[in-house]
Amino acid sequence: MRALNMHIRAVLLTESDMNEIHFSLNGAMRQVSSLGPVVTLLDHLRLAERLTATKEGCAEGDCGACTVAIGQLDEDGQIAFRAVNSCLMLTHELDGKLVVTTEALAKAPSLHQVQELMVERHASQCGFCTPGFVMSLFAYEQSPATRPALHEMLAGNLCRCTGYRPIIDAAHDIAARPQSLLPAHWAASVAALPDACINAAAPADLDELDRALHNTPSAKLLAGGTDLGVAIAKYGADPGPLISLRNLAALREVKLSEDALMIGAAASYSTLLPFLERLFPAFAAMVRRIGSLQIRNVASMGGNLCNASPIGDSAPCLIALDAILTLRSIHGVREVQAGDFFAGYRKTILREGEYLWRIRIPLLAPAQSFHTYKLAKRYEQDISTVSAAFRLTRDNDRLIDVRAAFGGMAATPVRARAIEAALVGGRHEPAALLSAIDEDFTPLSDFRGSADYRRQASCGILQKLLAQQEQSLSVEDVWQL
Amino acid sequence: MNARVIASGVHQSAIHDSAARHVQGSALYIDDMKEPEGLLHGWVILSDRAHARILMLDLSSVEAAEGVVCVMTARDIPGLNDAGPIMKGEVLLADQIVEHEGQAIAIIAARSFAQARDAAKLVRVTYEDLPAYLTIEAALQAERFVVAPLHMQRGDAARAIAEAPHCLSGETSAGGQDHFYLETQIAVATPQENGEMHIFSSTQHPTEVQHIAARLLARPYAAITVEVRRMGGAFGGKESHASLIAGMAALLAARCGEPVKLRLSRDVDMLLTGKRHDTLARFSVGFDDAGRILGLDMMIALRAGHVADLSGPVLTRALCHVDNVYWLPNVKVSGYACKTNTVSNTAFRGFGGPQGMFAIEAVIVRIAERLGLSSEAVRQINHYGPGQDTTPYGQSIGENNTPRLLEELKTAADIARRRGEIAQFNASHPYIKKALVTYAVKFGISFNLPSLNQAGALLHVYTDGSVHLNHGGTEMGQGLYVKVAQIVASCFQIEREHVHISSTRTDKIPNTSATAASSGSDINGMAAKAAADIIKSRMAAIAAAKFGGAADDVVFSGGYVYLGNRSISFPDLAQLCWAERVSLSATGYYRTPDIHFDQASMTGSPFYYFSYGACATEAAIDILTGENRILRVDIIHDTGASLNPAVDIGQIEGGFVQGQGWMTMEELVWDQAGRLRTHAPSTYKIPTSRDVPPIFNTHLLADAPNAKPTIFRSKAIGEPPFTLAISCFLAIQEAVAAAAGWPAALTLCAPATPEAILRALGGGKEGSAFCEQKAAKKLF
Repeated sequence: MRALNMHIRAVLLTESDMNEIHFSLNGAMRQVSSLGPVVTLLDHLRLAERLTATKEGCAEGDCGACTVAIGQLDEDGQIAFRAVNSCLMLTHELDGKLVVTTEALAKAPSLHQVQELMVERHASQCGFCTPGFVMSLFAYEQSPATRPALHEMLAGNLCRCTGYRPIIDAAHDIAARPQSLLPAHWAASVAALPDACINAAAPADLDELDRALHNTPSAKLLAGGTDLGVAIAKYGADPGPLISLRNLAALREVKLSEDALMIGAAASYSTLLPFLERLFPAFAAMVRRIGSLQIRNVASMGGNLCNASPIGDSAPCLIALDAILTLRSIHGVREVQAGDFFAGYRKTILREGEYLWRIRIPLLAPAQSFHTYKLAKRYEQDISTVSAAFRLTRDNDRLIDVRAAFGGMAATPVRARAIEAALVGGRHEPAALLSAIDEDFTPLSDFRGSADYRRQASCGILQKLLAQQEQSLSVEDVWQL
Repeated sequence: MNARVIASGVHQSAIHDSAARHVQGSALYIDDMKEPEGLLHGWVILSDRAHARILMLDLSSVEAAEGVVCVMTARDIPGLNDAGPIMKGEVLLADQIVEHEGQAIAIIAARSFAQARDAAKLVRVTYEDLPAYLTIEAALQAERFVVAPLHMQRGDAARAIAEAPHCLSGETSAGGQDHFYLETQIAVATPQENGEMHIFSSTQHPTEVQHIAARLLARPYAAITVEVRRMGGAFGGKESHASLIAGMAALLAARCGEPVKLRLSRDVDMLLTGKRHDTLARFSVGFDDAGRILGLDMMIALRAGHVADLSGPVLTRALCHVDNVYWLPNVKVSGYACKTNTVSNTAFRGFGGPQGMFAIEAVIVRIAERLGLSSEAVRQINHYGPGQDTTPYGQSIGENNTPRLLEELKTAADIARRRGEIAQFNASHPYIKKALVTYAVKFGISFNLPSLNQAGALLHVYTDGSVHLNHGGTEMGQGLYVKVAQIVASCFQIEREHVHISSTRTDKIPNTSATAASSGSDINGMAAKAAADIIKSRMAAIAAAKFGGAADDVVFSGGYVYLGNRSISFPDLAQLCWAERVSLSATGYYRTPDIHFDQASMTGSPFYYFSYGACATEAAIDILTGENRILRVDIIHDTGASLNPAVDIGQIEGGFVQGQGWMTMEELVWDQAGRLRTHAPSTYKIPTSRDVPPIFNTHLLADAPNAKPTIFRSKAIGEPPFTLAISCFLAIQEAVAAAAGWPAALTLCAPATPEAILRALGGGKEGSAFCEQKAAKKLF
């Protein structure tokens, strides 16, 4: 098994082998140099291969017209698929993987059942978004055991013609049918790929990473690449030296100990969602609204934190949960509180040569509960106007401790100490909540919302939190209706 | 005689002709076509100022950049620097003055897309800023208009208002909307011999692309051929503005002597091309105790942007739709197309109609609030009825399907029961409020300008019985091609698989109108039928000669041609016609009858007929955060005798959800310097599948063939259903009223974003502490 033998074989590689990346495109091997300029998978498909089913609609991972399915062999030699945005994915990251595009699904003269159901349901009009939908639906069809909810699956594909109803119907049809068989040569083509490309730009263990980053401190670490991909795809940015984390299983581990959940910084959101679902359902609810499924299939929490966006939705959760971040470099490791990680607008405290290794989230005590809120213009796949997370600790019915953190209210996600005090101190009337908000924050106005809305809506979030504590509501928000 | 009729003709839910290719990715859009040798790639350099004089434009670094082949500015245009579809002098490339952020100031051709994009970053421009008028209000005050104001009048509105038992004044506004077609604008121009140019353009209006390219290149129309097989969505955005892109590609191609592809990036597309006009309406209305409108004086102002483009006709249609389904005995509507330093707004599904229809609803709810009536009661009492059935511009509405639609909707949407449940829910939930509204629409079908209502088609029957179909309409996903193919199949009585659809080309059908105004199948379908009828009569004559009988008695049915008890297959008859030296090729032509409009007096009968629809829409809002959701929508729409029910349902649902986006979440935000801050899907949010009402029932009005002799008695479908989504706004507004009272709800403007809703709940003023005023009492 290629992936499993990776570490052993790495030492046997010759100099020239080391720099070639191999992947299977619709069952046929492709080879690209890992040292050449970065190329997005979408450009590779459309320009180099002239496979034009996969479309560019935005070059920023929002519209999903570029969706393809990426397959990897699991332990049983079966292919596990996930949908990704090819516009943001760099071909380097495909090493050892299978790429399936819409062209490869139909076996003439019959369509693939996903395609057939889309046709039967009249689910295409202009047809430009359609190949992307087909690939999202294909990945969905191929993963009956781990299927996301229907709208989560569809949220990363925009359609401007149909109003989605027939696409939703086709998705229901697909869910009700057995998954289709894959062409045998797909799995064989992946198994036959040469060994993983391991070099300084794609180290295979953490020590190598320490050294690589020490030697090239200006290098950017590439995890999911969904942020960097936008700069490259949309603006043609030269990313400078990159160190890919794709070979670093150690950075993708998600482990549950007795008292904490340990998340490798490069673990994709989709990998860690089942853990969050079980341990912190409100955190999972927040994560399910980060980007789209295509984004979450590759993007990582560590990447989200290291970008230090003022509105990264995981940060408020981690701050409110008292998460500890482990930072690592060739000089050793250190731990910081999640709330101390941000140094300013898009700045972290990471030193030269240092990277985020893992995130440790203490489990909730029996007397604790965790709650999250996210406000945006659109429910799915929108950047928060305001996001908030609360960990409440009770003694019987009395609130004795609150840990609150907000995103979108300041230059970084930040803990809200005056709000915590107001909540614990029983100052729950709106005027008191507003003055606590004003003490904690002076939000900005931008195209996502005015300062006034951010302030008012934060007050609304606090009132919702309290109402939900005091009354048992069968419907807590409009999305449950 | 065999009674078999074909199975794939009109009134059948035929699958979109390209569906199987859509799902396999083998339907080719312009960027997917095989690239000609030597193809160059274009890019557009945009202004980053809203209004400025260009003091210095230094393109030397751009020209020197790797891969760049040519750079052009206004001065390099061989013909006229004019891309105006109606008015003259609307420059393609800014010449000394820029009038909006995102205006084109230069164009580049390079060896690759990436090289062109990267070279564009090297431009150096020095500007001298000029005063910028960014808002409707600013332009109104300065009386800056792109076309002369329009006035429509019937009766004496001022007097009726003065004498009415009640009167009030009000104001409302709705934002603009980006088309967000998934395929950004694109063209490939390929120079031919003798100064001719072939252009693949993603356009709804090949003829206009032809004209503007010819004007820019100083060539006769006949030297330019424009072709389009399909667009990846258009929605009006590729009506006039496709010529900008195609014109630039043609200029670069002519200059370089090489084919040039110009594909806009999403951001450039959203910055360079126009959107739906945002709207400000102010009014005074006089009414009686029952809420009957006796006099209405309304001002509608649209943000036209920096040039007129199509704003004049958009404004005309807005004025022609203020009445919607309401009888306005005394009415005066004035329209202003405001010249602002923002991108020129353009056609967008509904073409001003939705804006006019949105405006009158503000009148309705204010009357209801004043009289303490339900908005539904006020809508009802103002509906057109017998003797009150003439529009403000003097056209009789003809058949009035509104009462029937609303009656059928009561049952279909289970309205009475649900109103009870909603009241119960609202009484019990601390911070979520729901509302249900019923809403009816009427939409005028035909271009307002009578001369545009004409179309041509070209049919060839080959000797194997297969048919080549061509017409002047373009396919943007709306199913026009399949509908017209169904029409031809029905005419010849051959299965549709024998009718081959071909791309729209100016050298096949000349002098066409845009595929717009919902008129595509009405006029192109009629033209195709006319062509088919010509060929059929020739074929019938041959059949009559063969069988001995009268051509009038020849019947085409189920793939055969019958005369008495003799028959011949369609292919055999085609072969026979050839042998008898009879032409099997014909052009068909159609002009819509009975329409006229006098633009000066704004009176006439511009519309051949009206389309009707009705819906019941339920919304919920969260009064603490402003979050909102459309929960259930039931639509009954009047499609006449639908040409293709599946395609029509697709247009209804798709149009509705697009309108829902306009009314609830799509928000264009400009900063104070006039820079658009929302020019990509990361910042401009259109609905996703989650936003679609979880219960979404669409019905076609049964047994309602068009009273007018349209193509197989069908009705147009593209735009009317879009307007039904105004009900999303109305339902949210009613929910705000349920939470905070009508005075607060009346302050809500569109789009009803969470922020707009929360502001309205607080009484409409920035900084009004809603949670202090309202929720405090309700919750705790």
